[in-house]
Amino acid sequence: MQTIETLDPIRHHDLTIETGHSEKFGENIHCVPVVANELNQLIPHYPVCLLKDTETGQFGLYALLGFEPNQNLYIKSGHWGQGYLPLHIQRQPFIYQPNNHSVGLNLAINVDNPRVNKQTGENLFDDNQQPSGYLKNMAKIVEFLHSSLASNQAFIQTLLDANLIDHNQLKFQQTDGQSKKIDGLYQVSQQKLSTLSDQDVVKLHQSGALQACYLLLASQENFKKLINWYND
Amino acid sequence: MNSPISSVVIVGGGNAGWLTAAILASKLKSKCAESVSITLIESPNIKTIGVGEGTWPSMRRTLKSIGISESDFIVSCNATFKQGAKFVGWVTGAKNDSYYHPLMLADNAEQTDVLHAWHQHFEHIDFSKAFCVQDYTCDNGLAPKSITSPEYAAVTNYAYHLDAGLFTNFLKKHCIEKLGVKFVADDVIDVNSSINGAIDKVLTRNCGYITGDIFIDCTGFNRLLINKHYQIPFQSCKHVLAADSAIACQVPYPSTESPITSHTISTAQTAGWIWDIGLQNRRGTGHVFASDYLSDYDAEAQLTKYIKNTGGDVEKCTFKTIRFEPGHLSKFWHKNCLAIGLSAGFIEPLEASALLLIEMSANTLAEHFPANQAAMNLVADKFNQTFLYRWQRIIDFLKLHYILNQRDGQAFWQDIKQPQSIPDSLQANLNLWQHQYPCMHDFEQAIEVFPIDSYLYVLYGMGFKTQYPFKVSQLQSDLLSRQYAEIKSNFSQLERVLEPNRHLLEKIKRYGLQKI
Repeated sequence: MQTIETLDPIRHHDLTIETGHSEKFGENIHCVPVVANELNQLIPHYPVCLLKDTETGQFGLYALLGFEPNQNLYIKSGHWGQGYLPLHIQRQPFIYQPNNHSVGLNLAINVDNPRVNKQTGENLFDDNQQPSGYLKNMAKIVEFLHSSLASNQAFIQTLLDANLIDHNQLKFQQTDGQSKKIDGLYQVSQQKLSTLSDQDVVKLHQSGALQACYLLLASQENFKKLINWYND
Repeated sequence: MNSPISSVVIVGGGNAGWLTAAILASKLKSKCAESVSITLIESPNIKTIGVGEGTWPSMRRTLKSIGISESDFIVSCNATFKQGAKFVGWVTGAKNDSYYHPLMLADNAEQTDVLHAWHQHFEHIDFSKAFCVQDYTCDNGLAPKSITSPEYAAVTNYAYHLDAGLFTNFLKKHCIEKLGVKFVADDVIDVNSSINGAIDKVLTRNCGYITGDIFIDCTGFNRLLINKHYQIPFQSCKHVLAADSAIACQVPYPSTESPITSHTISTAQTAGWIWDIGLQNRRGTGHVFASDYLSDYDAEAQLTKYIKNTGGDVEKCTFKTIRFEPGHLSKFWHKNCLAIGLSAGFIEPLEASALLLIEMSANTLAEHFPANQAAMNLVADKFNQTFLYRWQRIIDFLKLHYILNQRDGQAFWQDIKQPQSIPDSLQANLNLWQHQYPCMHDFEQAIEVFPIDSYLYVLYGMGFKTQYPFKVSQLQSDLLSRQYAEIKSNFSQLERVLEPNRHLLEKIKRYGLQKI
């Protein structure tokens, strides 16, 4: 459920936002959308792949968190383990809304998000109805994420135009000996990358896409960790 | 004699001309070291007939091989997905009389005992339902793939329904802009032969002479080169398949959200049948009939009634009558001239064979492209042999749809199943199939026009009896029960992934399909 309200110092004055990360905030998801701009931070922790949106068929970048619906293997004993959290997780329960003059921040809030309450957590506004330090920080995250969407789209389009994406079935052995297949994953093709012409390599490099390609490939190592957790 | 073939001249545009040009241009480019130039001369004055709005799944391979994006094709040609054909009223004409010929192969149909188990103990289940999931997807109007399927990839096998006029323009643009086909808009007014009788050049009204090593006749029923110039005789098959007329009509949908049927509907009439195919923006319908049995007036009345009964607005329809002599040339390739498309022949569009034959002809030509003049006659002989065989197979298969009918009291349906009208090759197979089930070895060629499964769907869809003398074991019965249950459970999974035909087409228009 989502009920989006434009953030307002009077209407939302008494709201508090519970922080922390766990299943109770609806974070038991098996993948999360990410942007190319955060690849550097993601790569030590998550396998990042391209997935197709089931409604539109369009490619998006996602960090994989599990292998079953509602399975987030990063949440352990009710808490999301250490490490960098994808911006999409960090920003909850806020979303981008331009020109919200009432608070001077480009923010709206999903009041149905389970973090939103009136007892515990961070205040949104101080006693003078000014945005709290917490809220200003959230605005930065939301704005950065928003501004990263265009370059993310451009990056994916570059991969498509250069014909660099390949279907990439993940297959591993479960503890019961059965083999498990995960379909619908797409990845930059190392083989296609290595056969690019000099000219195309330079073009990719100048757009920053070449580095991102290698980050994506490097992130696949994290599947090993995920498979171990899955089998534990 | 030994200089390489370096130029192909195609006379005539239309689906045949442009599809042939596209296939040759893309295949020869990758095959020949030295480039073969391809020129297409299209008359600005002659209108194309635009038959063949249904295809076979082979069209997916063809379009992919000539470098076309499936999304572009679907959007540009108002194309929709076709998962097979439903034959309504062909057996008895009673209310619930219908069967499917789906495009997916029949599960395990190569195993005689599975066929036998169905025939002996499960005949109350439609043959196609017991052997294929596509009955269900068609009945529910579901698309054969989802928005996450890559271009040309299928969840259930599919072909297309398309707007033939738009398809021609689409191919033409692709040929000229992407494939380097030279386009001459002009009328051919004379044909010049060299001493050995091969065509040397053709004279155009405004652009002078155009020379070539091979000339392809895509001039439709005009048969400008193959018949007017070479007088290659035509073999009529009207004594086998009596239909010689068609009244075509475009029917608008009641609303922009009307569902789009995921298969061709062919409904038997008193002396022919009506086709009904759903495009994105309209339905294409038409009545194919035998003029010896039915007047144009009555044929149009039957079509009008059909359109009204299926929710169409007859006031918005215009009818167009087409006459044809059913049959084909006795030889398709003569000297350096090859006929492809309607010029090669035409029979009623019962199993969408028109575009299929164009694809097959152009692909065969490209794959066996003669290296030089000396090789030409040898290649031509093989081509003629292969395609005479293919035409015969098509005639046999179409005839099969008619001869098992029990539509008593209608002269057309009685006459068409008379033994003297049945080709020997078909009769021989039928005799065999009375005793044992059809199998691949019943056919001569490795590349058949229609797979054995198509024969099974029609034969057993129409209630053909095979008196196979062996008992069905419990094991065989169980095997079939299991298969039937699997098909049903397969469908309940597909139901979650596949959406209605129109929904998917709208999404493709909006987002496109991915190449991978």
